[in-house]
Amino acid sequence: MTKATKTKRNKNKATKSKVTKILWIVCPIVLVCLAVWLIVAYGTSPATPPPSGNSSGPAERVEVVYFHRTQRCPTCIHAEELTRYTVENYFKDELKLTFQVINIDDKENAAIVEKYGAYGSQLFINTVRDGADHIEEATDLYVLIHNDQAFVTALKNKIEKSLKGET
Amino acid sequence: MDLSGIMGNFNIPVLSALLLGLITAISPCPLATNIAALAYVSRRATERRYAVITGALYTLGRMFSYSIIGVLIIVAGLEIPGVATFLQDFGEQVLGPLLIVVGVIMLSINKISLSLGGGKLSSIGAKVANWGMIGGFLLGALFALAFCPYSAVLFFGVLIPLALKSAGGVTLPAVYAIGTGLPVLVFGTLLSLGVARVSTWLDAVTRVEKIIRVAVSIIFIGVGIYLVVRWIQT
Repeated sequence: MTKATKTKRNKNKATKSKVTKILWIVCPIVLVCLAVWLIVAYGTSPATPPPSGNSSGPAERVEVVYFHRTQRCPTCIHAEELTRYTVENYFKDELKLTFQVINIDDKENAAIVEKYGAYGSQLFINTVRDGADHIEEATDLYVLIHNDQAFVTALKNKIEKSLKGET
Repeated sequence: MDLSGIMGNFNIPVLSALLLGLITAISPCPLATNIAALAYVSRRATERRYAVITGALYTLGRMFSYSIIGVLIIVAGLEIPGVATFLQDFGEQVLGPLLIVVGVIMLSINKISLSLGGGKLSSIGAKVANWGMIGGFLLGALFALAFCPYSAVLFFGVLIPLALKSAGGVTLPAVYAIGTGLPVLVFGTLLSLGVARVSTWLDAVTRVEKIIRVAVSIIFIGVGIYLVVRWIQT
């Protein structure tokens, strides 16, 4: 190897390490800027509209429906158990309330799956008022699954609201 | 860890998406694939930066997949139930066998190649192992597509509706992906630093590397078997 190529190599190495150093500084800055930009640009989500005041009295019927596939996971089974606990513990004597567990993969359930648009382990509350369905997916409960007490309380509140026809 | 409690207090979609990602990453089923990813990311003890870059690429791979799903639903208007059902099937039926195959291939370069004297399988194996960082990206893209029942409702039931109603929601799946990839990136880096430290200390870097490579293959096969067993059980 000649001296010239050697120095050239060393030079290359030096510039390479410089480049990596710069990259190590620039990358985090870019990421932070990106995060700040996202937060500033999109800001806060629009506030949820207040429940409409012109609800026509209490519900005729409230259907709590829990869907699952044949393939289940521990978290989803736990969700069903918590829902069952809430319904049986707090609404035992509530005649207007029904609780169903539906397997999506069962061909017999095709009609109800279609009606709710279900695709997985999901919880729906259907408030029937004046003969019309008001189907709502309880998505805000999904993130509470690891906190039993919070899940049960939130679901209880939801069902009570639904029974009063406030949804 | 009560992430959900924190989440309720935020009204910033970007932060909600990030937290949703974290909640997804630590729930049992996605955790299984994340452990495989963790093993992959931290497998090279001698190169400290390798774990960071592979972990970042793994996260990038997840961002890629989630963004595509997000665009398909938010922009192209695909129906959520159809996409969700398809991807849950994918998770059960494709990912498990694939992980087993990749695990066996990776194992073959370490062990079988010696006894069989090379052959096609080991040359494929060498290639897979040399994918290295690109492998991290592919792994992320693939693992993101495999939805478990719980991650499916968090993504399709919570994140996508949030993205649909907030301005610029198309970017939220990518932010969610960062949340799901963050634990792998952080723990992968820590693990690889720890292994590097210990192996230099023991003066046995090459031996430790070999053991890790076998361990990674076994973890892949183990996670694959776990997924396949869950699928067969039904």
